[in-house]
Amino acid sequence: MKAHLARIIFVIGVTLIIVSLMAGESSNAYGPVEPNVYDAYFYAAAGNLHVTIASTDHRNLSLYFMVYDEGLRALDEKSLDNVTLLLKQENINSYEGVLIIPQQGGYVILIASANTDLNSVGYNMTVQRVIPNLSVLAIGAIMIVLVIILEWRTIYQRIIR
Amino acid sequence: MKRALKRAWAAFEIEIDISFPFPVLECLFVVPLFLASSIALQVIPTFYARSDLFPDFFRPGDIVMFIDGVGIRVFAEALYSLNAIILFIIPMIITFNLARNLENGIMKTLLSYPIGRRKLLITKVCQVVILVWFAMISGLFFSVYVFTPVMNGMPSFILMSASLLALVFAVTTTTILIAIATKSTPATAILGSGLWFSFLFLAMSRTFSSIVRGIMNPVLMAVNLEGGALGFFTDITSADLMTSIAGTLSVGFLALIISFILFDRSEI
Repeated sequence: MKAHLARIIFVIGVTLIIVSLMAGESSNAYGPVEPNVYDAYFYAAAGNLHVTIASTDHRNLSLYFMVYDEGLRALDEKSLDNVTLLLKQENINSYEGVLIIPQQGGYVILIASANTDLNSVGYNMTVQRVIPNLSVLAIGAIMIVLVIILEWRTIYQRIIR
Repeated sequence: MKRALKRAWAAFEIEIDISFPFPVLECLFVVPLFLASSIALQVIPTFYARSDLFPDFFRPGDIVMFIDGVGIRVFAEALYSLNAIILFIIPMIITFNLARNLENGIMKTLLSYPIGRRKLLITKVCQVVILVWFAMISGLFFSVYVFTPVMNGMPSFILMSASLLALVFAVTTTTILIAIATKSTPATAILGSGLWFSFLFLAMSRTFSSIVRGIMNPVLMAVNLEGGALGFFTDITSADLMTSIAGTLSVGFLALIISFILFDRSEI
């Protein structure tokens, strides 16, 4: 029974390490954002997100990142004056970076035109999970180390044989 | 009492060693974990809204519901995928765990232990139900929790887990009944999975009423009710689901009672 348990913990550990390295799908968003309008993308995020955004027509745009309650307030008030932001990138043509997720939950990326004229700004945005997922990788590694510590005698005897 | 428990545990350990040679038990835990993680990783759930159409077109309630329900939807989607695997895995386990033992005489050795026939059968049922259900549920919960935020909806998770438990129990006991009745490895494998796959297709086909289809496969009904529109069931309530779960459990208990009677009377 103990041997079964050790093997189960070991293979789960290996599986978790593999899973932590899996990329998964990315979320793509595109469009023209109209002047004086916020395009909002709500994400249910469990870990850090890697975001890449680029303007498609050489005009600049602004990117804001916040928790989803704040995002709802921003949409409601049509303004960012009373909103707490986690990240602000204004007047950019492109941006690539990691959005730090403090805790599991809903988050919002707001995109706005940074131009004063009345033209819309086209953009392409890709959001991906950050690889490897460090917490899953750590759990997997701990499980493997735990099995090695508990079963080192058996492992050693098998190697000697 | 302590002695009886010790004996049952000893029987459980022997059963595990005989029925689950490496890597069957290990795969039982790894496959759901890997599959559920793959499904949870497939999507980064996104909801789009625009400030000029807010709150008339993009309503705040819809956004809150979307964020709160993400965990349940991913859980339901993963459970739906595991549903078909369960209908295949359990008959295979029973085939090698019971039908093969009945066929090649290992059952005689098992019955020489100081444990009654009924207790032996209960041990086998508990072993398969607990192991399969626990492996599936722990894999699902872990994957959903790690890759998708689980926020609200504990009653939904409990209902889906209960529907899975009912299905696992019914598939186990009916396949055990088939194994005892036929004492044949291929017949148990084919009839066991064939019966429940037929039920799955009938549950999808809308030939019968919702409750009957729910009894045939409560997991399908649960993922439709709790996880959003998969389209196989319409206009169902939590009460319908609970009736279906009770129905499936009743089928399982009936099969177990008939198995006891047949096993007591059969010559090994």
